[in-house]
Amino acid sequence: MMNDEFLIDEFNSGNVAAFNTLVWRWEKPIYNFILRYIGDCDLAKDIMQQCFIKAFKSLKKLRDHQRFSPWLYRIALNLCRDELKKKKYTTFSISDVRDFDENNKSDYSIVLKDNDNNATDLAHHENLAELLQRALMTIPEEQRVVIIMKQYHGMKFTEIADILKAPINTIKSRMYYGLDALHAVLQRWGLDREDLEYEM
Amino acid sequence: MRCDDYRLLMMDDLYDEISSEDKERLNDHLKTCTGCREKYRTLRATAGRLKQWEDIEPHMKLTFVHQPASRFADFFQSLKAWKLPTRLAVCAAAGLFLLSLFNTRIQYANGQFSFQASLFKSGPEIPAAQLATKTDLDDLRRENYQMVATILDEYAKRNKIETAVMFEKFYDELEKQRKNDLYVLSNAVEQIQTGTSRRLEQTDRTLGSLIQYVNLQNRGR
Repeated sequence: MMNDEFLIDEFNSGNVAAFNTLVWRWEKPIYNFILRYIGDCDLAKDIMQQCFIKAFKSLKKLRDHQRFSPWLYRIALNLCRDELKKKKYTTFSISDVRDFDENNKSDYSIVLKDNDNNATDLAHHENLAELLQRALMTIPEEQRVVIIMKQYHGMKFTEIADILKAPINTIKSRMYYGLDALHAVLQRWGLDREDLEYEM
Repeated sequence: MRCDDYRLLMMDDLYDEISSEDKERLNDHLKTCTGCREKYRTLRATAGRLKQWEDIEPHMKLTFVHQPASRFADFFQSLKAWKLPTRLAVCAAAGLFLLSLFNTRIQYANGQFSFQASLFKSGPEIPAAQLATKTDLDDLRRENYQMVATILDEYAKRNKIETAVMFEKFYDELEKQRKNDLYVLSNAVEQIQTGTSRRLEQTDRTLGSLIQYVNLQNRGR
């Protein structure tokens, strides 16, 4: 299988199809990264498109071809941040979470019940995604981005530190506090069932 | 180590980035610290819950095609491919070319740089030491006066000569005209005299004929 470096070399030598292969390979991860960060499907598609256009225009400037994926995530993150600044998006406040909790409490219990019966149920996944998306939006941006990169994109802490230009311990600390904050929100919503027990 | 330090190890352990030594230390700590143990359990549960959120397909197909760039775009694209030393050298060459275009002169004298640029080329600069003094200026002015006076004298002389020549020519012309007139006049007088004598002769002949006729008439009576 052709790796990213080979495809970048091909693209730099004039083969546009190589870039399309890169797009095909990375569009899903990038889209899901943006979607979890922004929380809006249509906007996520727009930003993903911008991200690849920007990558298309500036890929020749990338010196270290091994760092393509961090570079691409960095572009996506910058575009997301620009969009948040432009649209003045606000994360959900604690009071919003509380109101949401009170209005939709019964729905969550249904979700959990469905989960017990049929884990692959599409409706359940959609509801769970919506709830987790909402929960993610309640935590600070710097913690959210670390959780998304680590939890859903399997990046090493060193890679995240490299992308975010922050010390590795800061990244781990953000991860810790982000998970803690998410636990508090999920607990409030009744989604804190511990699937995984810690075993000593 | 404090509990805060173990939090970082918890993250390492949660995502399998922990060394065996650190894992052993963390486990030892969790055995003794109830707060950390409970916290780690909840964090693992939260991470587990987050894992249930699966990726979705973007359902859009992005395809990039090669667009033929314009000649200028190709040129600028090739500029981008140049390395830094090449770019600097080209910039320096372009800068020098522009400076030469604007007749720039950069001089270093007495520990100071002087910079001068103009659109049109200026003459050679006269050093300050060679600049004219007031006496020199007076001499130059006097020389200019003398030169102008000489020119005016020459001009006057030339005018006089030209006037004399012109009068002489005029006199010659007048004399020639006068002779011509006299000639014409004499010819006219001569012609008048000839005509008058001819008329007188004709008159005489007419009178003679008349007298003869009268005489013949008288004889007939």
